[in-house]
Amino acid sequence: MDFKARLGKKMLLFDGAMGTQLQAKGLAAGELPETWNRQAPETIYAIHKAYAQAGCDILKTNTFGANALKLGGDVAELVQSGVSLARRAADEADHEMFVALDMGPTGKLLKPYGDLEFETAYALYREQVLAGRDGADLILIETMGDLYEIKAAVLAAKENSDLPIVVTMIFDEKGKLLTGADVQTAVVTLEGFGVDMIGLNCGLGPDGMLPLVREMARYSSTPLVCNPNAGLPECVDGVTSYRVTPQDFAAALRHIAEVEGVWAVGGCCGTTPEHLQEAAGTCKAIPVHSIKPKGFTAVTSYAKTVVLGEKPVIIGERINPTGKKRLKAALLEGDKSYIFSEAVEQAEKGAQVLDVNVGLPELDEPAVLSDTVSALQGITDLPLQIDTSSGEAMARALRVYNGKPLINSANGKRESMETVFPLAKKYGGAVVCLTLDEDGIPDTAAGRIRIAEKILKTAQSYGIPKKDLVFDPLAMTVSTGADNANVTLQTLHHLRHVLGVQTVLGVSNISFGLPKRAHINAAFFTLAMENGLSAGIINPKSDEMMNAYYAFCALKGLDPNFESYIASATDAAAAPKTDTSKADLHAAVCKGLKDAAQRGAQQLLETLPPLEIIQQYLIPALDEVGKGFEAGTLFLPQLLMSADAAKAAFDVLKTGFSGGQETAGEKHKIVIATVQGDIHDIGKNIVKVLLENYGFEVIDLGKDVPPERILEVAQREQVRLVGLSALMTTTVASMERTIVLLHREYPACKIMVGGAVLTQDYADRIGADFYSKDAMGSVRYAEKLFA
Amino acid sequence: MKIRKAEALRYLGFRANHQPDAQTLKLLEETETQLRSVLAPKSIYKETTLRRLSEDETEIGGIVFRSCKLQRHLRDSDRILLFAATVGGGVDRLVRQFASSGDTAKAAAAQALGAAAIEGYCDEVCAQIAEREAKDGYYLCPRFSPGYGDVPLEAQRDFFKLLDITKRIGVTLTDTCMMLPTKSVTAFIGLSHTPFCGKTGCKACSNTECAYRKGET
Repeated sequence: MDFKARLGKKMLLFDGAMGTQLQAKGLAAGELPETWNRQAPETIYAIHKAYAQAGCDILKTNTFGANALKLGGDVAELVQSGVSLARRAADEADHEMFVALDMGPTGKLLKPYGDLEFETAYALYREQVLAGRDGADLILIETMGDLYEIKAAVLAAKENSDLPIVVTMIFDEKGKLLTGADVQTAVVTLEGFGVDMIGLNCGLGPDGMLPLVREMARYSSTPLVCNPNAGLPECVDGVTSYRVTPQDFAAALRHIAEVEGVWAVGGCCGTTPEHLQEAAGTCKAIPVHSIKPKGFTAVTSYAKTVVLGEKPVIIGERINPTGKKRLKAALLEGDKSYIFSEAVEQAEKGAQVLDVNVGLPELDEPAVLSDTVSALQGITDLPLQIDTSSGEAMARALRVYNGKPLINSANGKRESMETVFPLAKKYGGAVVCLTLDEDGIPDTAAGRIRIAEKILKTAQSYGIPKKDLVFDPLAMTVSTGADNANVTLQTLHHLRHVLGVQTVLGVSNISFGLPKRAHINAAFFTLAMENGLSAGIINPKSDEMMNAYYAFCALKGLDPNFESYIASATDAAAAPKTDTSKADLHAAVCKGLKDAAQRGAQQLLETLPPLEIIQQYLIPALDEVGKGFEAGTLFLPQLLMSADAAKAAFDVLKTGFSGGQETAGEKHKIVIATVQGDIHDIGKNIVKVLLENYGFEVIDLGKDVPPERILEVAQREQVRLVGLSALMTTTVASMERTIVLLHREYPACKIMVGGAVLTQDYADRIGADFYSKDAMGSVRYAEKLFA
Repeated sequence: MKIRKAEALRYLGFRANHQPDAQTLKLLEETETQLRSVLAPKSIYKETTLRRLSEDETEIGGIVFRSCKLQRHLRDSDRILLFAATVGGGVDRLVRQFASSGDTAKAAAAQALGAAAIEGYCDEVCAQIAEREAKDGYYLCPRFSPGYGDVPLEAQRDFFKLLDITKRIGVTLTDTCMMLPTKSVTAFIGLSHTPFCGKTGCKACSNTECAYRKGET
């Protein structure tokens, strides 16, 4: 019988530890356990056999760390021998046994937090899957602490085998993964990936795991598995020991096995065949229960969950270039910082999900969307709504998304459903479904409801449950039809309260063509929430909308103790947002006051052209601060606060330039980068802001940048100056390699360097043209060079 | 957890005789509030074996580390702990969030406060260990990290083999042996029957031109 067929028929018992068993048999510190598949196969086989005799049903292969990063080479050989050793023991057992191809973490942190590319992680797991799939009955992805790495492993398993997939994670005593996800987020995300079992292993003993298993069971519609350690590791005479006895372990594991939804248990570090033999006695006879599907609708980021259907959810609509000149320009220039600041501001204003749309005819949407989604994940912990009409862009963005996103959108057209539903099924996600089809948008509520029903049915045929569909009843401009709002609200009410699905609405459409649109939008938003709106796609930076939201929640008992309402009201009272007092731009920049600088620039724009404001106000102010810094009377934080204020003022002025022409002359370009191998970029970022304020165009290549890439961009962009940063002694060597390459291949280009460990002497030795001892130094050098 | 403001100011270029202005203090205060909400401190340590093989070779946990300075640092120790700690990836995320959304000053402040936070956290954990060890008459040597003195940064790879750092506290190594999350520390801690009397901290370091060097120079 195959593993999937056996699942749910009886309690299954995983085996116990391999690593600690091997240590007891002489595995040296730092030695890789997988090498024993070749060096001491009989020892490995004997451990498997002991677990088989103890009554286990599933053997984990000795391949936990068998990836190319840890082993160097020999992955295929060590994985194959690992699988065949377990297979032999399983086949010789006197009862039916399964072999789990065991894959652990890569040991690296994935980008954007770490230095491992998602697709590289995928390739590492793919190599393991291809080597081990023959002879295995299932794939066990275990001891995982990062949902993103789990996604790479699960995709590798799904795309390269048909084996069932079990994922177990390591939580700390606070119930968090190492990368910050809580239990609910982990469950929702993994169910999105479509795995066959979800669970916990390692980290804690059975007592510590019990509450976490119970919590998992609350959220999970997927069977659970739990493989605890034999207690917490303790250090005894320099050796890591686990002190829970086989009897105590088995007794505690029994409580876990009794939790509804748990279909398999076993052991991890410190457990022995004796532990599992005892556990077989206490656990194997426990009946397994069928699992009640949990009907809640939720989306996740790498760290948190947003549930739809409780309190209305705010989806921030600002990252969408339609009708937004500034964002359009930012996208075309590849300027991420504007997009990031939109993300951060919307989050501060109360957005719980961010819509991301980069659809512009001039752009390579698939590349830009996946790139933007990746980058946003590095700075926000809000779930994203991936918004595109291109199937390819959607597929690529869904692949890199870390969590379970909202997918915006599918509709009742056959082609749309055929494109979107398979993607949603494969990568996970809740799909926004527009109630329109080949015949357009029905004028009546009944027509839109019929389409919703059709979509619901079709989605189910793809294996997408009702809870993962969020219906949009479509808001049509009320100025073109007096009944438009009514039809939308009727549809909404029916969808939520009769059909019982979650709903979403782009609210501001309703007011096109009318004056004072915010009034109409806010009133309509309130009406929509009252009629069952689960999530509104709105501008959270609009006070009218957010006031309507907080007031609604307060009135409907959705805001315990009126906390959110009072907080928002207090904020509004405190914020000088309607401050129209005259602001002195020069003084604001010198003092590092951002809001005042923006206001000052705005006021000056009424009478002066932008270029004159820059020359008469901004440059002199920046110079004053720069000189103070150089003289040692001002320090880095002050320099930076001024720089940030000036940058904010420049952003205001940008809107004052007409026709996209930003300045009178061509800007001088400078390429900057943190060298290969170095991940510290704060110094480089500081230099960037200062150079930009002084009117240079900075091409920022980021951190950990290979010499060849710096050369390629410098040559292509014909820059005359490259700035390199390195923080560590060890990466100065990489800086030197970059300098040698640039000087040889592109001698016309000057190189300035900086970083904590550098000195003038050191910079001379590695051949730099200029050593900048601080951030202002680079500005002065650039000024001199381009003078 | 104690985050020493003076330490953060030093990372931001202030020296002992420099008085920070009100605007800078406000910046640090605001940033610290945000930073504290993302701190997730975790630590791990274990005792292992210590053997002197020659004057520049020390066998720790079965792996040989070549360094005169480490040996000298441990000269009075007859026991050794492997120690690792982190304040988590939230700090890196916060710094990136500030830097990428036009808040460079806060990014620099969060960076400096994060560095002060991990030092403060390590001191706290070590003080607890010291208290326990004092009962057996042992003193803790100051932390000595891979990359100090003549111990190459590459020693991190061996250090990571000896202690289950990635699995237990989530700290990983890049190809160039830097730790991620960045606000993390690994260190050897010697245990001896006499209090440590060698030079410590900046005074023990040979890089006299370092921009962050404390004190007399």
